[in-house]
Order: sequence, then structure tokens, then C-alpha cells
Amino acid sequence: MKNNDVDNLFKELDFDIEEPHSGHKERFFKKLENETQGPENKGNVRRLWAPVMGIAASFLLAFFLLGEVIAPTASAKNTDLASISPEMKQTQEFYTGLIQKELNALDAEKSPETEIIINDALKQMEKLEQNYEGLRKDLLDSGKDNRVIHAMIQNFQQRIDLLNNVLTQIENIKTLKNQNHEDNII
Amino acid sequence: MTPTITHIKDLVERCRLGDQRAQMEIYDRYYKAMYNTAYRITGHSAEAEDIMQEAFLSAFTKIESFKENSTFGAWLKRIVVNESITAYKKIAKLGEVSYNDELKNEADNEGFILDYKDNNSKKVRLILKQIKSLKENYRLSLTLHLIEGYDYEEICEIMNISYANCRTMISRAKESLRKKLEHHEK
Repeated sequence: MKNNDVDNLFKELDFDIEEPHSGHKERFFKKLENETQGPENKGNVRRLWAPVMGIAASFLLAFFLLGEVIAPTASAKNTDLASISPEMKQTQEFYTGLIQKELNALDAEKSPETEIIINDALKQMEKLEQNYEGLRKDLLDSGKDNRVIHAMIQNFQQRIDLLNNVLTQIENIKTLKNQNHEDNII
Repeated sequence: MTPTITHIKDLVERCRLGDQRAQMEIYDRYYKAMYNTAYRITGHSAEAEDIMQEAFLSAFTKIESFKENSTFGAWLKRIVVNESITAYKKIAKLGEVSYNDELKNEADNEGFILDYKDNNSKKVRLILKQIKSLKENYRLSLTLHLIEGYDYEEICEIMNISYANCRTMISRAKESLRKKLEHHEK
């Protein structure tokens, strides 16, 4: 017997000797009926839902994209000392109020003599404020780490110290001038 | 009166229009060949029936994609073969072995089947049994090549292997089947 004989052997034989279990035709007919009724409904549903789903999906996508753009700024706004605890909120309000007051006082002292020193102070304030923005990001990244909170409070204090310094300097200039003036009078 | 025996092309045409009687007629004509094909690959009778019927259903739903460049039977068979291999891999993965079917075949061999379909059935069962005892990929490739009548190119496409690989595998498989059959004849 050679390999060719094997080929020939297969050629002359009918291999379809098995029969499916009885009742297969009825089972198939049932399936066929389900199928022919099924797809039409399915098709309709899909036709109705496809555009709606498409619109919904595009909305979702738009939301996500907007979220991506807005999220960093929004979350940065949310993360502030105030977001940690009510006490911290009070602290922040206290400091911001104080800073605002001192800034107003500084504004009131504006005069040709003090302009240089005030402008310099405002530049310094800007730097400190930038620092503070960085700390806000850090607060978010670190998950409200105590060290960052400390740094933020210190930042507030630095700003107040700076403003106080400037104000006392301005005061000094003023008294110096007055004294000089008085000296002149005397 | 309409003729009972309709040409397969007419039947396919009527299937395209969704004629259920035509679909049932096609089922009647092909179910046995398709069932046997699925059964030979999966070795599982219930699974084979399921695959066969699902293949018919999917053939009917995507009958638009059936081009006249092959026969309807070949097209349908290809669906069955592909489905069977997918199902077979799943069964093999789950490690499910169909002991029942094997026992049934044993019983058939010695039982009533013998006297009613003479030599053919007897020989076929013997050969199938020998093929079954071969290595897994030998069994599959030999079944596809010798019984289902696919050529090397089709087999390497179905089994997703290279052409050379397929050729050697089939010739080795043939060789070992030949030895087994010879051994049995002695």
C-alpha cells in the first residue's frame, strides 16, 4: 500500500455516514424563524439608535475634550488652602484680606518719590504670587501634603512681610523728608 | 404544479429574496454533508449540529456576499469548516473530551450499523477511527485534504500555516495513516 493508494481509497468512499440527531430539521426551522423575525427588529432598532448614539458619542467626546482643556485650571482653582479645611479657609481669607489692605495702603502712598520702591515691591509681589500658583499645583499633585500647606502659608507671610517692609520704608522716607523739611525751617 | 426538484441556482435566487421554503430546501439538500464535515472536525455530535445550523443561518443572512464564482455548496462548506475549526479550538482549550461520542461509535461499529450499509460504512468507520488516533494537526489536515477535498493552498489558509509546512505535514500524516492501515490489515 502506497500513499497514492490512500488517496484512491478516499476517493471511492462516501464519508458522510453520520446523521444528526433526530428532530434537527425542526430545531433548524425554529432557529430560521427566529432569525428571520429577529434581524428585522434588530435592524430597525439599530437604525433608530445609530444616529442618536452617534450624537451622544460626539457630545461625550466634546465633553471629554473640553474637560481636558478646562480640567487643569478648574482643579487648580479648587485646590487652594480653603479646600483643605474650614480653619485653612479662615487663614486664607485672613491673609488675602490683610494683603489687600496693605496693597491699598501702598496704593495710597503712591507719589513720585516712592514710585520706584512701590514698583519694585509690586514686582516682588508678582514673583511671590507666581510661587504661590506653583504651590497650588504642588498641593494637587502631592495630595495636600503638609509641607506644601506650610509653604503656602509662608508665602502669604512673605508677601505681608514684604508689604510691611515697603510701607515702613515709605514711612521712613516720609519722616526723613519731613525732618529735612523741618530742618530747613529751623 | 411546480416541479419538486428545483435547480440549486434557483433556490439560491429565492433565498436572496428571503424565501423560507427555499431556505429549508437548501437545508435539506446540504445538511448531511455539512453535518458530517462539522462532525469530523469537532468530533462532537451536538456541537456539529449547532455549527451546521448556525452556518446555514449565517449563509442565509449574508447570501449577498455569495459570488457565483464558486458553487453554493463549496461556499457553505467553507463557512462550516471555518466555524468548526473555531469551535474545535475552543473545545480543545477547555479540555472537553467527548467520551460519549466515542463510546457511541464503538457501539455502532459492532452493532446494527454493520449490516445495513455494507462495506462502505464499515471501511469508513475504520479509516475514521485510524485518523482519529493520529496526532491532532495530522488528523485535521488529513481530514481537510482527503475527505473534504481541499488543496494545500486552501488548507494552509484554513489552518493558518505556511505552504511548505502544510505539504510536509500532510505527507507525513498520510504516511503514518498508511502505516496504521497496513498494520490493521495484517
